[in-house]
Amino acid sequence: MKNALEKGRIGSRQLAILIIFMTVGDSILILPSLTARAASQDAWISAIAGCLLALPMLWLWMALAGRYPQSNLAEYARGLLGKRAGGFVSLYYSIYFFFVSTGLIRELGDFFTIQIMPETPLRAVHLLILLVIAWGLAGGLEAIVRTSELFFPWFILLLLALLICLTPLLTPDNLKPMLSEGVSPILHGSLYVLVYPFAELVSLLMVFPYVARSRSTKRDILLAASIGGLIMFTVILFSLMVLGSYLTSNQVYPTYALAKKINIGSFLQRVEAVVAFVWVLSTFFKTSIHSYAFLLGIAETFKLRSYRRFIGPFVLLQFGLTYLITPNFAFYTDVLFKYWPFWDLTNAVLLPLVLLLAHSASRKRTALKA
Amino acid sequence: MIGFLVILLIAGVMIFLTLPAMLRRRELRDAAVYSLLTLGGIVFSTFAALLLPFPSPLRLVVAAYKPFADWLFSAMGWKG
Amino acid sequence: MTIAGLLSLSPVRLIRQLGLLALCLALLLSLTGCWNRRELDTLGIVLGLGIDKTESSYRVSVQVVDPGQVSVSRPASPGHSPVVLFRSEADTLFEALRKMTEVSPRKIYISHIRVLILGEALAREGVGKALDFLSRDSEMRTDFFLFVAKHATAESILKVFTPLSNIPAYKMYDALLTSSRAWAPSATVTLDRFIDEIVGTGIDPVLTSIEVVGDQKEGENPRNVSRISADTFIRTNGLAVFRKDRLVGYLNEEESIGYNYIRDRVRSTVTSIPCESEGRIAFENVHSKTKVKSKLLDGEPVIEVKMNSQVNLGEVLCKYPTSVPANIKKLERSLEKHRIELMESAVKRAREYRVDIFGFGHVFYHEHPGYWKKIQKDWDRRFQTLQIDYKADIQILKVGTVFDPFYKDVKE
Repeated sequence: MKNALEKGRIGSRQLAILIIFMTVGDSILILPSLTARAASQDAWISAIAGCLLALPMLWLWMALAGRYPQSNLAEYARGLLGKRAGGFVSLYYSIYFFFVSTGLIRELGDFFTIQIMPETPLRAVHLLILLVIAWGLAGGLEAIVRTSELFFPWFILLLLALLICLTPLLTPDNLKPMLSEGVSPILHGSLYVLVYPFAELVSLLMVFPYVARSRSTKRDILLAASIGGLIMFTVILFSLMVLGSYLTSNQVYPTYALAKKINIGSFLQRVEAVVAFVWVLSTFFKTSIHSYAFLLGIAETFKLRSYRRFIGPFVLLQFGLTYLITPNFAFYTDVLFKYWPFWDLTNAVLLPLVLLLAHSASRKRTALKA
Repeated sequence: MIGFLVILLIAGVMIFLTLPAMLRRRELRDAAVYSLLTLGGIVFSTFAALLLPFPSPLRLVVAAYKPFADWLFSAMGWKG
Repeated sequence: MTIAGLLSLSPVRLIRQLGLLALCLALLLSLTGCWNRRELDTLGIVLGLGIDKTESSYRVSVQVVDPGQVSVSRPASPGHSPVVLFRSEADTLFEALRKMTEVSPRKIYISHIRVLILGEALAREGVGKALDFLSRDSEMRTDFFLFVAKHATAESILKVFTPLSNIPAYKMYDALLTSSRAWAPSATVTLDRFIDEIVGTGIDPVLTSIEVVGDQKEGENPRNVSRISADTFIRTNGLAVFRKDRLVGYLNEEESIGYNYIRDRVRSTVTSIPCESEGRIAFENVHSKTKVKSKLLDGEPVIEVKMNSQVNLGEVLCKYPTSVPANIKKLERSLEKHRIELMESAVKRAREYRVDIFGFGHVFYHEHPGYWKKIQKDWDRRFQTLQIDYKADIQILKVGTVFDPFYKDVKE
């Protein structure tokens, strides 16, 4: 590695925590309603199917990253596809990471202005989130990851509190009838479970080279992704069992509606704003990593000296685009429902597959030469 | 208008703090990318700050995947 | 850093330091957290919300707490009401609530409502549209109870002074909660459950109905509660039956209990059955569990309602020896018969209204989705002739602190 843009190193435990945060990410907010819209009361089966579908994808990434343990996505894209095409691919990926993080900030902003602070302007919320993200980016990868480690116990604690407080309200009857519409809607639902928690983890390909590997790294990654998947499965299951499939699919934020239902002995109630901390945290870390991947990707693409000095322009750009990315809430949800999954899949499966094929092709060529 | 001025001011301060240093160290590529990103940032932020209408960039994603998505949704009988 | 220290810096560092200072100040502003705040004394906290329909618009009435009248440190001035009623009319609920600022000095804040009362006229026309605002607004929660004002407007219910609890909306909420736990003919329906049952397949919703007993004029006067026995009061009275979002009729007390038994919503209640001779015997229900199952017999739908219940004997109004095991058995059998009659009466009334409030169709949808898909359109007709097998299994556990009614042994 001649031109190391990132000097920091993270441990495999830190990576695992990061993966759990990113799998839960914004998915905890938007996923229950998307899957319930697609698969009604079978959404929980979709969740299992989606997690299983994610496994080959994770394997694909690890195969790719395992071939180049010292380089990030942008570096080996250039190495495999040549200067021109590789540069183009890494620029494309940077733009993709940028827009994922735009979407995430917008989702958080929409959530705040729809549910909690309806009179606060969207852009004010965006600006606050962006400033915190910029601060994290200025600290670098290590700072972000250490922060995630620091907040992780709180995150788990609040999440567990939410789930435990809801157990008295569970009605398993809401899950019936099973498989009444056949397998197709379940597949439809599993598309979202595959895409939003897992496929967007592809930004980690920019982070993998900076992980201090040990023998257990691979296992930790899989374990962390499964824990994230388990959390998503539980949240979907609870939404269905507490709210029913209709309300889950028709609520903009079913998880928040779930938190509103908490009422233990008329004593522990109205805690939703506290529980909202869960997805504020997870979305924040997912956004940070995507923003980081964008900055690093741009720096790699254009062979720049440092990525940190571009945080300022990044904030300016992001501030504009988070607001412009969608004219209203309905358009964005429609894109999330119909089109975005395929964009994610292109970048998480198709392109890495192409890179892997290019890798084996180049190996063959060198083998033939020798 | 105030929004535009504030954005220009912030961008100006940003440029003043970093760009001359880059140029002095002859990091021309960095300086070019920096100027480009900042310019884009000014444009987009101004649109956002002044609430001017701007077509959503997501329309590109929609345009790219619409044929495939429409076909898949109707072939699988998924709810649109 | 002192000012002199600042000035001694090089220009670039000076600007950097000043920029940092400016950033800190800017962050300080944002860290107060709120874009806009609403102080407690600018909010009119609504506890009861009533919706009525006039010819073309909605009439919304809200019961707002008067904080000065309910504070602990400063007891209420006599003759003053602890709550204030505001009302306004507009084409939509949203407008009506905002329009209330014309009469209310404080902005109406509806996050804390305890009861939502739907006027009968509105309920007969359909409440679906009126509920959209409440399910959409971000201030709303779903932990309040819904009522139908029986033969009345929602406004008239909210105007009545109530004894024991000086905030009427609280009174209604607590009364319903208590009665649903200790006395069976009511249903604690929250907004989300109501909506779920309106859109649900093979099920129609019910709400508790509430009415004013006595003279309405008298009830609107604070004198009403200054007497030991209030002349006018509000009380819940059985259930209101809906077809989707439209009120179609009411169940009386017995039918409501029957309904709650079928839906397995009975926590505790007291019922009595006649003795063999004259007089009655009363039982307290301590546990009851009802299971509704569906099956298809030769293609015909059959519903099985199976109840399992434990009761305690509470009062005997005849010379019936309650210490004889055979008698207890006999009582168990006749109590089972009585329970089944209650449930049958509820089904009979629901059939008159032609609505499946018990969710029998829903059970078929759960357990026989294929069959349900075929007959879904035809369910209303099938519900009329549906075969329902009731089974009740009741145990009498205790007979209280005495063996036999003492007057059995009175020498005449």
